[in-house]
Amino acid sequence: MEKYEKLEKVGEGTYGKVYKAKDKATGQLVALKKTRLEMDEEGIPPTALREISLLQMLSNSLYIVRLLCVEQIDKNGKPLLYLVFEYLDTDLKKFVDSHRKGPNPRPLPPSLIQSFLYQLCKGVAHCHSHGVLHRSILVTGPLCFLQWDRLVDLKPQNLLVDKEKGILKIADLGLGRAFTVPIKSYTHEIVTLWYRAPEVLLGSTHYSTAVDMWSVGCIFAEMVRRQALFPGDSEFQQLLHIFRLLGTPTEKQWPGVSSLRDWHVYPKWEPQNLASAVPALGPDGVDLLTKMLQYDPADRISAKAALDHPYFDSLDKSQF
Amino acid sequence: MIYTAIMDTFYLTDEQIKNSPSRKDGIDEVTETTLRIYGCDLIQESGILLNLPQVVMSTGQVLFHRFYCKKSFARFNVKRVAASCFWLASKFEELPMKASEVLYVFHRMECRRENLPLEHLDTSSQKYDDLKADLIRTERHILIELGFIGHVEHPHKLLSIYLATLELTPETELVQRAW
Repeated sequence: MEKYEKLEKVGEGTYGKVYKAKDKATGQLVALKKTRLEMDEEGIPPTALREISLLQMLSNSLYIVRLLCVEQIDKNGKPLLYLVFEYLDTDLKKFVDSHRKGPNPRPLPPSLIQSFLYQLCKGVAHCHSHGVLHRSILVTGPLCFLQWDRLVDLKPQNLLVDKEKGILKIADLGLGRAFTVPIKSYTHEIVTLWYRAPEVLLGSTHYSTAVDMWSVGCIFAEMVRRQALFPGDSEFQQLLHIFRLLGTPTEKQWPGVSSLRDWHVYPKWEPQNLASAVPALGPDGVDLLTKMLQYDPADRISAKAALDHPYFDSLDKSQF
Repeated sequence: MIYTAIMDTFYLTDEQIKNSPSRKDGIDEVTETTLRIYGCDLIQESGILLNLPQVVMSTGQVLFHRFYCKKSFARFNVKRVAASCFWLASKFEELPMKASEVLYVFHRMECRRENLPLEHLDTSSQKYDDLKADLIRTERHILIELGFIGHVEHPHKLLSIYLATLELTPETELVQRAW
């Protein structure tokens, strides 16, 4: 680790501290993520190996933050693993905030929103195309959710942005159970519910890649509005936020919804006009958003299909 | 899908192959090749004895070759590295073997090949503990040297597609040899 000079602590990721650092030889800025490696009687756990492999494979996309290398050191006899990622100067949350508050509040340029959303869909599609690998780590039961959530936890804080070049990348692809999460940093973290899909909130145990598309939809709306679409502060409140805008889901709309584990009798709201929540968005954008925010996961648009949506017709795709 | 970029840092120039770490320690090319074949042979046989699919052995052999592109045969014992590469490959290919299974098989192969009396490896012996500690230590050495990269894209699948495109039947000598 003498290769890097730690500059500052930039945050606590899902599974440990993150430092901004400089590669002494090349001057390149990197993000160092520290994690403890549990070794046992059987050497390095296969789950840990597979997860590192998965991260390496997923980061092989332009729209996913690049894992440059993995370094291992011993600290007091305990092996520590450093994941060395490329460094980007800001994240989508800070970027959107800077357009809402600060000296010069202004909307995000529509072409930038379009470009960011396209890059996000590209990255998500890449993750989903490795679904086979996901499944190999996912276990059934309640842990399942935790693992998926950590693997690709889509929220603006986890989307890194290069302001100059207009690049957006998915970051913080977490590690699952194979790595111990330092309890200290974990308890301080406030888990965001704002981007969580309704089937997850309702306790469904069988959910799919569609949960990520719900998050993408929420992020899309947030870029347009410059504030969160469904800012719930508890799981119950989160559902009410969703139902108030999109209407309380019915069996007809979403077969099986009332038999989900955490389904209760909710007030019956009528669906509002989604366009009124995102007044700055044109009809194509509203159509795409509607398809991302479908209640029935089976009806929700996939990342791959989203890339071909007319909303992106005016985008110069040759640059991607 | 062929994985390139960061995962593929294992290409070497002719010059690098000629000046391998072993060569710098005074091991000539013929000896290095013999040791490489010996190690791969051990990995192949252990996989057969443990009834594992070929992909595990192939991955183990690739890891083995990669490791000795970075480290010398003079400094790392070929048998131990072969055992740890095999063990790692079984983990990467999602058919993890227990340390004890790997140690038994490598111990047995050693006895047979070197005409030693076939003694049982006792798991409560000091010798077993030492071997196991070494297996784990070597595993970590390998991982660090390879930067934790263990994806190996084997040519076999592509090869069978190419051969099928060429409309060669499995009886053709080329097909037999290629596989």
